[in-house]
Amino acid sequence: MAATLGELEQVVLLALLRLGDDGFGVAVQGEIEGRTQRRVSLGAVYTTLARLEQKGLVASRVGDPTPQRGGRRKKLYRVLPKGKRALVTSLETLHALTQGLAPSLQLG
Amino acid sequence: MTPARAPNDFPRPPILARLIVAITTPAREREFVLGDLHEGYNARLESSSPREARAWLWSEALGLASSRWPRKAAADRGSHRPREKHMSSLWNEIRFSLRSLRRAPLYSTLAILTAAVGIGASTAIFSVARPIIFEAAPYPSPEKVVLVWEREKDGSSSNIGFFTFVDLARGVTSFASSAAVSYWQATLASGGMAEAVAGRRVSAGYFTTLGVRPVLGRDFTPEEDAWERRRVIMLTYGIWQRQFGSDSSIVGRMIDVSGYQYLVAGVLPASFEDLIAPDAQIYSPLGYDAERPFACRTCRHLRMVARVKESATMDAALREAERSMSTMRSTYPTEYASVGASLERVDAFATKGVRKAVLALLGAAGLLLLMSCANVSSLMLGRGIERRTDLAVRTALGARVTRLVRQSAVEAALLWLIAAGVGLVLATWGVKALILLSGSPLPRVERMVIDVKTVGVALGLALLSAVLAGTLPALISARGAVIDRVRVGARNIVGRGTQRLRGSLLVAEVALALVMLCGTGLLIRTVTALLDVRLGFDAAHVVDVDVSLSGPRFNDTTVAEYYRRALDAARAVPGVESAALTSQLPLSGSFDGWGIHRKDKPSPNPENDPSAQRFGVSSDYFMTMRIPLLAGRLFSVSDNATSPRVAIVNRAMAERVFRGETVVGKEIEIGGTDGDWRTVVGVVDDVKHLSIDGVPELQVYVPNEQSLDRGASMVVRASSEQVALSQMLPSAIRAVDRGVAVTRAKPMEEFVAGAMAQRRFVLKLLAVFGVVALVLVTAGLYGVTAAGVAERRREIGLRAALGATRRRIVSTVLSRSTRLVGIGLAIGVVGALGLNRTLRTMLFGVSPSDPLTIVAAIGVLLIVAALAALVPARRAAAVDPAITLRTE
Repeated sequence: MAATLGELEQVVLLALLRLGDDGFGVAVQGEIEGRTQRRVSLGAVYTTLARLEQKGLVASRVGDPTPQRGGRRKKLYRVLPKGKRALVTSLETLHALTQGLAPSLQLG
Repeated sequence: MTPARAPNDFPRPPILARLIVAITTPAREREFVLGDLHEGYNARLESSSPREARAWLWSEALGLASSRWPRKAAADRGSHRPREKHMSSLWNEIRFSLRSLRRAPLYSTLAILTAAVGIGASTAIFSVARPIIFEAAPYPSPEKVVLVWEREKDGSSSNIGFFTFVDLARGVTSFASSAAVSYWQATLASGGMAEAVAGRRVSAGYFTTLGVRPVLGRDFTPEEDAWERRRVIMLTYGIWQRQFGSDSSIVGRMIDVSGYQYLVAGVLPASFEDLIAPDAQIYSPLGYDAERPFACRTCRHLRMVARVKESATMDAALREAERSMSTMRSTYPTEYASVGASLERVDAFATKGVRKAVLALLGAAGLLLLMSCANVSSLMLGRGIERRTDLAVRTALGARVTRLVRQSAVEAALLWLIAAGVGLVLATWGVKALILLSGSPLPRVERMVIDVKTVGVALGLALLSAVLAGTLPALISARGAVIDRVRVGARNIVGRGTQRLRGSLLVAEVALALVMLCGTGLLIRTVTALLDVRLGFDAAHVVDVDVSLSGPRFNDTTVAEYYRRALDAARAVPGVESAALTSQLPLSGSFDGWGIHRKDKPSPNPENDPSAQRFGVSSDYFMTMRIPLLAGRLFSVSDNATSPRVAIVNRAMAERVFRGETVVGKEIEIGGTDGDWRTVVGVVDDVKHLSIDGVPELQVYVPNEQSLDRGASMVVRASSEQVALSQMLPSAIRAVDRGVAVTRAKPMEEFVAGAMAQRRFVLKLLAVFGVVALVLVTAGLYGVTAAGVAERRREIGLRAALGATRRRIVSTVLSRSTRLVGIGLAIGVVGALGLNRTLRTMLFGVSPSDPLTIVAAIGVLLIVAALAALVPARRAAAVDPAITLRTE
């Protein structure tokens, strides 16, 4: 059975998918903030990423250093098939439970 | 494509935030996290303001410091390293300590910050104090360079006249060389406008005496130290860079100084500091001879500096100087009132003004460091309690107690070393802030830097503190570990030793904080008292602009003419109520002392007559400064060069010199004794001229047109606050004559504030230290009370179950804290009474043992203590008896 996902885990996984090959800490934070106006702290992003990696939902590799990072390297994350499955399950659950609730939730 | 940019094109985020993140982030993630912070910071710098970028960075850094990283992924952990085998090496202990610090980020951050505040404050104060207290003058054999004074009856030192200098230079064989120094205000032409430059006229041997050689050109020759040949100039490195663009061909050329042609002889090295004349930018030979009226024995406006021979002692030099002076006194009995000579080391002379303030601050920084030691100790003890089970397991598994002690020691040392790093960063800011806060120019300010020595001091303090703060907690936790070996996971009972130790630490903290608060309180009272002192003039809405006239085209007629036109120009500026001139401004630090001789009571030695501050003022001066007239009349425009010679004296002179006789109408002579009598026409109130806290000085005013100086301070009163004179006034005066150097406009209130600057400086710092001390006490008290509550949770629950009221429980819990605070306050009062006596010379209008201050300080501490203890006490009272009993 696929792992269940916390809300922040879902958000981070979705952000990673949007970012494609270029998902790393501050970029994930920027993507979430840019799309949803929701403020997430870097600390929360990192710990979520680390937890997702422990669960085997994402994999990381070390990227190249860039000058705007003070010559430091990035840790790039990519969503694994297992992660995608977990996300799909979790979204389907949400979808199934939302059905018919649109009027009372005043969804657009 | 945009051109590639190097890493240093991108600003680095604040170092303290980076340090906090680096310390609290696991090593395997550190690079990536720091990189992300860097990138996010720079992105915000470019898209929004630096302020927002910093806000973002700090909120992320603090969030990261408190976030809990998951343990390493199981896959990584698989390979078991044979750890125990290497554990004995120090390196492994360091790594282990780092890991354990990181595992408790809240504890580590708190402990490191507390320690860093102590180290940072002491290091910053040390850097400021170093050139003032700990370093000798920057000259070869600095202990041999002395200032030579005439010693007065009351023990004070004063300047000397030219022929006294000549006789001392000749008569004291212990002096290898010596020189006389006179103030010199010169004017340099720069960009078509005259600029006033502070300089000194010096004997040819001045630079040899100090032991400095020009980097460019040559020193003055003895032949140039003569009236007709003295148009030679030496530049300091600073003015050579600024005014002459570091042009080395300037040496040997002629330049215009005060309207005369001067030959540039040389340039002094950049490292040269003139401790006798810190403001001097140019030098020229003195060139006095017997022809000059101001070269005499009673014309005491010279400072004498001498270098004592390597083979001679200071005592021998002083004995010779005393002998010379006594010969002079018997040869010229009517020209001396002094009783001997005194020698003063040049470095002591340069720093004496702020020495006491800096010593007081060093003391306060020491107290703060002790407090932070106590606080870290207490934190370590608290942490020791949390780790008891861990330690107990390790002892049970065979770890030896000595190893555990060593482990604790390494952890303490590491903590303090990291704190030293953070503290040094704080100190770098601190030194800059201190220099800004000082309000008045500190002596030797360019030597106040963080360098290798400072870093050494910070590390030394850190290690000392580690020993001080770390030993006991280490021993106690190790002992606890042994005792608990067989009771792993036993009830959470804290050893009595630990509790008692934390209690003593708290007592010490409270005592130290009280001493600090009392010091702060005494200075608050001093500054308030100073603000209440009647100055004798009204500084509000008055600004000052200094003018200096020099060059061959100015004689008495043209100077008087210029002053009249300058005053008219100032009065024409919109919003000006009145304008006047004075030779010396109150609280500006300069004064002119002249002997006052009475016609009706001549004395055998006129040098024994009282000396008064003499001011040359224009007719509107008293009105502009609002100095009250007590008797007679003020000056009017008809008191000029051709009218009868008149003077106005102050209240102190009327009381002390004329002793209640009618003063108006008396005839006096100011300075010489050549029959130049003046009639006293009025008496005005005393003006605080040298300092706000001193006793009233004797003062006498003469109309400026009857005694013209080549420079003056113009005081201008604005009709209201809204009038901003600082822009229009100087340009209006400059427009009168481009060849006259005009300074910027300074509000008179700046001079008043300047007179209190040193005390305000100490006050501001003590206030900051006091707040930090309160924070430390709060944290300490909170910790101790909370620990007490945790320990007695069961007992409290039981009491509650048996019907004790909330009130009763709170008071039971508080009783221990109250007792500790009480003991601390008692010790603190004794300490404050002892230590604050060292502040005595800085205080004014309040005694060092002022009861009101002590009571107020105790009050503040009690309020803070009550708040810190009440929170955990109330939480204790809220314990649900059922839950506590059920866990049994």
